Amino acid sequence: MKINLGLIATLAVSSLMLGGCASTMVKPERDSSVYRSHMPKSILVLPPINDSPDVKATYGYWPTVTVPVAEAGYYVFPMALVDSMFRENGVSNAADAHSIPPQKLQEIFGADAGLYIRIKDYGSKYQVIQSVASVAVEAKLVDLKTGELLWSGEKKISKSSDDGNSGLLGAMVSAVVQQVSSSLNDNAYPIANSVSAVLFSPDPQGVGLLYGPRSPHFQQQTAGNQ
Amino acid sequence: MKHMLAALCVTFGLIGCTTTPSTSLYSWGSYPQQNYLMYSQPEKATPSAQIAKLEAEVERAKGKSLAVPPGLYAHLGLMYFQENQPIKAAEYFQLERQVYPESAVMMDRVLKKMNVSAGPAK
Repeated sequence: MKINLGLIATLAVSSLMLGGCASTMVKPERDSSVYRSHMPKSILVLPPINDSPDVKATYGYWPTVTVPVAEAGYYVFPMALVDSMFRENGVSNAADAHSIPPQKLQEIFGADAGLYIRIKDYGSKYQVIQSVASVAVEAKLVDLKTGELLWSGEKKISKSSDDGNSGLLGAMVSAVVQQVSSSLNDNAYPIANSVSAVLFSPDPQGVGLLYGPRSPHFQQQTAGNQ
Repeated sequence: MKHMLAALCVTFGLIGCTTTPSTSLYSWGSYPQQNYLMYSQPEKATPSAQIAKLEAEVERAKGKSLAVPPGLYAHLGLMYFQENQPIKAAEYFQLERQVYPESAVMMDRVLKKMNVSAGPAK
């Protein structure tokens, strides 16, 4: 009887595992036909709107977007120059920038697509026995000529001060992260970099951006999907 | 001990992976950090300090025959403009336009505006 129970348990566990496996495999592939037919060469990253209480969020998060998006194969407009052009034209906050008609942005910057980001969470919360730093964002890639949505995604990463992923690996990685963040006095910035890397980098599951024209993988991607 | 060694190798492998991916298209150097610092801790990234750092990055990239990332030349142009060196600024905006034609509309706009603000001296 005990053996039978064990067997049943094993079967149950393995079917759950298989079930989990199958559901991830069956997970419908993102329809990227609009994205592919409006493949942008250049991406304007608008100043991210901050929905978190931390005033550092917009300018802490914004610079982390450039590297993964450029490495994906797109021209990314220089953040500081974009910021200064907005300000010179009286656009002094992110919400105002987001409300400019896409066609107008296309005309001013010559950008093919705009990346609209909202920061939902940025910074540390101190709890009884630990502090938790987290960064959460939502992003939309919009074709600036037509206003069509090409891609969207969201990502949240949290890291607690006594993170349980113990062992030497965990200890060393968190030491690196802590060293960087303490020198910058901004716990969220290293996490923001991870969020951007995970959210925007092209990946086999198709969660991130597609490879853009400047990537060596671009042709391959196009050939493989037509 | 062997386990520890193995763990160390894995650790460094992972760190190497995240900081300098071998497939990187561009030589980023400190450009992303400068962008962060100039807003979050401006005293640590004045235009003149950024010019010194970023021109060194450009030389380093050239020395390794790696591509200078999109936006870096234009960023240098902005720094020179803020330092009241419009000729140097214009050179860098032109360079961005030449290396990255995707920036043409924006660079032309910036260059045109500079000529206007520089007055009749063209």
